[in-house]
Amino acid sequence: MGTLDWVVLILTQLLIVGYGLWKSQGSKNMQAYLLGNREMTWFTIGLSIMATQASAITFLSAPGLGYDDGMRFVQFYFGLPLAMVIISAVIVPIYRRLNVYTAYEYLEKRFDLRTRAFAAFLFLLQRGLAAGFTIFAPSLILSALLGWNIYWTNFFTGLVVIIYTVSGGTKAVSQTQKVQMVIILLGMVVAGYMVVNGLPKEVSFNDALHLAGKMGKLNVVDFEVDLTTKYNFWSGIIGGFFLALSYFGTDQSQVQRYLGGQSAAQSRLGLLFNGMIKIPMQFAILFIGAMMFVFYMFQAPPISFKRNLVENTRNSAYKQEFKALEQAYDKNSADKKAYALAMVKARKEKNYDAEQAAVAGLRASEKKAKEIKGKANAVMVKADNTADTRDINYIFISYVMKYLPLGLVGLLVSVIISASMSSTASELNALASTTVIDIYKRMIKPEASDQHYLRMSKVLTIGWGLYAIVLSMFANRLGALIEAVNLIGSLVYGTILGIFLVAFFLKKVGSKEVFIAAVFSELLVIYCHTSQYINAFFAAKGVDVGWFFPNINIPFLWYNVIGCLPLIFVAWLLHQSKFFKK
Amino acid sequence: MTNQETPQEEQINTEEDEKIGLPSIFKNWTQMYVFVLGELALLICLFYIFTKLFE
Repeated sequence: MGTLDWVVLILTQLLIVGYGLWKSQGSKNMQAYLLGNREMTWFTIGLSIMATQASAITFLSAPGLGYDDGMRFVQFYFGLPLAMVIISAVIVPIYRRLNVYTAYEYLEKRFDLRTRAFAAFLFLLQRGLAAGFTIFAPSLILSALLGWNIYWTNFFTGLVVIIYTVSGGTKAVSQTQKVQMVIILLGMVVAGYMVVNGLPKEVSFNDALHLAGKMGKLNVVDFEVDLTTKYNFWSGIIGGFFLALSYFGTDQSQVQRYLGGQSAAQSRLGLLFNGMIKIPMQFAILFIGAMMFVFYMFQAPPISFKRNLVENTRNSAYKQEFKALEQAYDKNSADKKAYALAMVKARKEKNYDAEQAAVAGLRASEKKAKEIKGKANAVMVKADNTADTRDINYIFISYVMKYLPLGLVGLLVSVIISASMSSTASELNALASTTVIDIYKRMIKPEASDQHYLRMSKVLTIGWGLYAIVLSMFANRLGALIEAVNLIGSLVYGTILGIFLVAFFLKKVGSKEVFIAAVFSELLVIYCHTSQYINAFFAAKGVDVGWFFPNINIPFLWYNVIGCLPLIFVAWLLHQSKFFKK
Repeated sequence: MTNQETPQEEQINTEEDEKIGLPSIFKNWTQMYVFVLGELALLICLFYIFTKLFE
């Protein structure tokens, strides 16, 4: 990064934090600190919700997904607008009427303390683990590409978040997120323009669309009914709906954003704004990735976007083998460029046969590129057996570093840091709120002054922040834990949602029924996840148990449905039984 | 313990909120929700055409 990049980076970060602190002056009591005095407008709520959901990894990996897998990931968000409507119509009025600080308070009013504590505990467990990785993941990528010390990157990112979250509470988080989201969107628009503008003169935007489309990168919608496909219309609209309903309706890091609205109407409008903007925004980010794929048809891409792994292998005992693969990859890239230019020329001349031949050549060279890359990855692992060769998260930032001019690099790095800080701030804010309201105030010290709870909220925000920083320092030694964090989320979200939906819609069902149903559905979800391991375990011993333990291999999005619907059904069934009617 | 709130109370609060912040182009919240879901349907149709056009 040049001096101008540093100036842009520091100025944008100072602007963001300064604005947040200035707008949040006067958070002198619990209501102001945890709910922002209920002064938030729909616009602030909407951007804050979007900024909370979109972590730095979203902006790093989504263009990479567009580059590698095309645009079908956008279907993941199809259920979101539907969930926003349900939350606005049903959940917001209930939370507002009961005047709650956290979503889990409602569960005690509706069921009992046990159910409230259970849900709050699951939230603290899951978000507490995730907070460290929200800081760590972008730091890892920035440090690898910019040569920054990962520990100092973690520390400074975490420290800045702690300072403004502790100083201004929810209001500072939401106001800061508003500016962060504006800078993030500005950065992505600039990046998208630069990618398209970087195409050769003879390649028009329409040509680029055809090139991307013919290579299967503009595969936005797939209506095929296939439970094993991770992203299609059905998994997006059904699984995505349940996931969004659970995340936005019951996860305190999101609920806290709209509890601070001036009125239920402002909260609803903020949610609906998110429902209308999220899909076009995600489409645009994935589209940048698809256009980057076209860009790299004309500019030879590196064999891996993980520069440090490439350098390590070039200096290892396998350098000759790796060099040969790099040369083969470069030659294949030159062939791909020739086919791409031939296709553009054929299109201009309306020569259909020549166009088809060029497309066939392009597809063959893409297939060959993947083969060579696979071999190169194997060599990189031979050179360093701890190497993780997946480079999707590095594609976008590598492009930024290599092809964007001075100043814009600083802006895009600022975008990534902003996205990391905005998600972390919401997490710390929500973790502190839940610990104070659902644990400390409810179970440990119920009769204290408002000022005491305010001080505790600030102390706990610092505590959770320091914990997140410490966890981020050890995160690279706990690689498998990242998967565990994602797994815990997908395993519990459906059950939590089921409990809330029973609370909202089955007004006569009591706490005992819902607790038994929750245990049942949680075991069902765990079985769905582990059935393949159970079968594999017994198969290794030569025993086929498939007749008793059927192997259920479905993508994790469906866990949200499996955790939720059986819970509702079992709770209703138990309520109908004579035993519970007594 | 079961929920003590009645659907009637919920309705009263919702009506009060409607007066405060509903955009003037909509008569009630249902119209606003239909608008949001309509946009979703339109986006899916446009995405489908986009996919087929460049396939």
